Amino acid sequence: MSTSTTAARPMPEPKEWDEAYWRAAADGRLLVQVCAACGLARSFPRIMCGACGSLEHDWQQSTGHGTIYSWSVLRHSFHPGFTDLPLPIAIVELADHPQVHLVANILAVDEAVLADPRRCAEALEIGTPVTVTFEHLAGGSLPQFEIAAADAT
Amino acid sequence: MRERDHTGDTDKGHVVSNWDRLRNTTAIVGIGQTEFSKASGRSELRMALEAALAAIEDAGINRREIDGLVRYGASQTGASEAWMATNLGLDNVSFWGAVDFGGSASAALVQHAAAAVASGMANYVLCYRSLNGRSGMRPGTADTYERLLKGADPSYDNFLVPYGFTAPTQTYALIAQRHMAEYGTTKDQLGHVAVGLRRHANTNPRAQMHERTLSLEDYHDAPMVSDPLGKFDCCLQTDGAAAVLVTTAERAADLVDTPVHVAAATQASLPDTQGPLHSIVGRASLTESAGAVAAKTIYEQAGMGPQDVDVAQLYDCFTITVLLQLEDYGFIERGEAGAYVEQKGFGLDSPLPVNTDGGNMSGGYLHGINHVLEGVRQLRGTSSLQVDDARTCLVTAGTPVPTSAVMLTSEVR
Repeated sequence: MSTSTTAARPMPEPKEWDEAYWRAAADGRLLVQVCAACGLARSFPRIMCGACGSLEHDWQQSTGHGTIYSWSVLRHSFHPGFTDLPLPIAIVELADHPQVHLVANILAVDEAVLADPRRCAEALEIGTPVTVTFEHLAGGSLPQFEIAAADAT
Repeated sequence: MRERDHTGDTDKGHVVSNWDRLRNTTAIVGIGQTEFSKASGRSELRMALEAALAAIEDAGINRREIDGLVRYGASQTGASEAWMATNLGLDNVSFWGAVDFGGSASAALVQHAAAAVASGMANYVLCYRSLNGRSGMRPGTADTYERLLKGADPSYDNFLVPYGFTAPTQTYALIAQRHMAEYGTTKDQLGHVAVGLRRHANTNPRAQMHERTLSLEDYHDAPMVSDPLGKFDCCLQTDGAAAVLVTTAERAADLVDTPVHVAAATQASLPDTQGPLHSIVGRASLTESAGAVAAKTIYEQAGMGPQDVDVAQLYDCFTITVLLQLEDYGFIERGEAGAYVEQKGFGLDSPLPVNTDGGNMSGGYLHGINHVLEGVRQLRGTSSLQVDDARTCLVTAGTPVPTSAVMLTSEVR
């Protein structure tokens, strides 16, 4: 079996139910998909509302403030497209849509902190306030988060 | 039509209304496996056939009596059921099945086989798994990602893969982190899981890690893979195959000395983001899993409770899943598994021996079908780490994805 050494970081391939999300990310806006009938927000966009059965949805813009619900640091690359390690990953609970849990990387964490799991446990502690930012890469734009400045929330 | 309750009712389980008539009407009569290694040197199809022939010999049937085939859905590229049927010379297969959601298929294979046999749709159902999981599909390459994981969560991949979710480790790390924060579970306690399972493997000549010991110090010295999970929190990568043969309890009584009966069997899910892998991170809680739903069904169907389980084979793709399932299946209260494992352990001298063959972590990683085989060995009294007078064994499957479980028993109550 051949081992691929060069591969690009996988990027979103927009689908019917999430295209608007990625278009907004390119414009620097974070959207949340909600059911047009009952208003329920969804962690991942989808076609149908499992609660009320509606096929219609709306998009609401989030302020992009949230807290870390859980975190990890990717230290071993399981895909050759991820070369810039360690890479912090987190689940972010949005302040304006607490039922939405988004996956993101936490950007701009100090390299010396990233190198030390114990310091990561302090810097990325569950409950830490974070703010959305946007990473514009060759293949698309990703909503990402940074640790919020002390007065930002 | 009743409106669906989106919050779900995880207290109810799902008990088949006529289960009283199905309980113990089917049985496992044959098990077989290849060696577990890092490099099998042969195809997945050949290994699957070797394991099948061993199970057939174990049961003492003519291979052409097999009329049902059930396999895993995920990453089964080399040993399709069509090729199995062709090579085994099966000319009248009436039940074909593939069960999805990766390692959550393990117990479900037996469930599907039992359903087919109990309903009369098939007489002898062969369940199997074959993987060159180390030499052929080792995680870390783009090629393995494309074959094994791409499209695993087709609806949600966009929200996960670009962020680095390219192996199961990331999701289980996030779960472990929550378990630690919510319940005070420690890295040391996860280490006790890894070390205890290695100790079991050291007693099992079939185990991939039979000759390699692991201390708590080794565990802590190992590199972090995805905080808080290190190298020894992750299961093995294994080349190997295993097969299980299911038929009716009536036929089983004629065939073998110790039929291993299916006292209960179920699949289970939690509402919302019911994806096969990473997408479960979108759920409201990461420390709840479908295992708790499976547990309610299994115990009610079997007419048993946790206290009636003599030995358990709990799915262990990562150390944290052993803790989660000790809680899910009611052996201890939610949140107390870490301290429990540290204090009581899960060896022969503990209240509940777990994964007596070393499990996925140290025995071999065939996505849990190995747990079914070990359950059968325990009830036959042939395990390398035999629990005295074991008559009931719980076998669980991958979690927190839609999961499955079976209760096996050598004693029809």
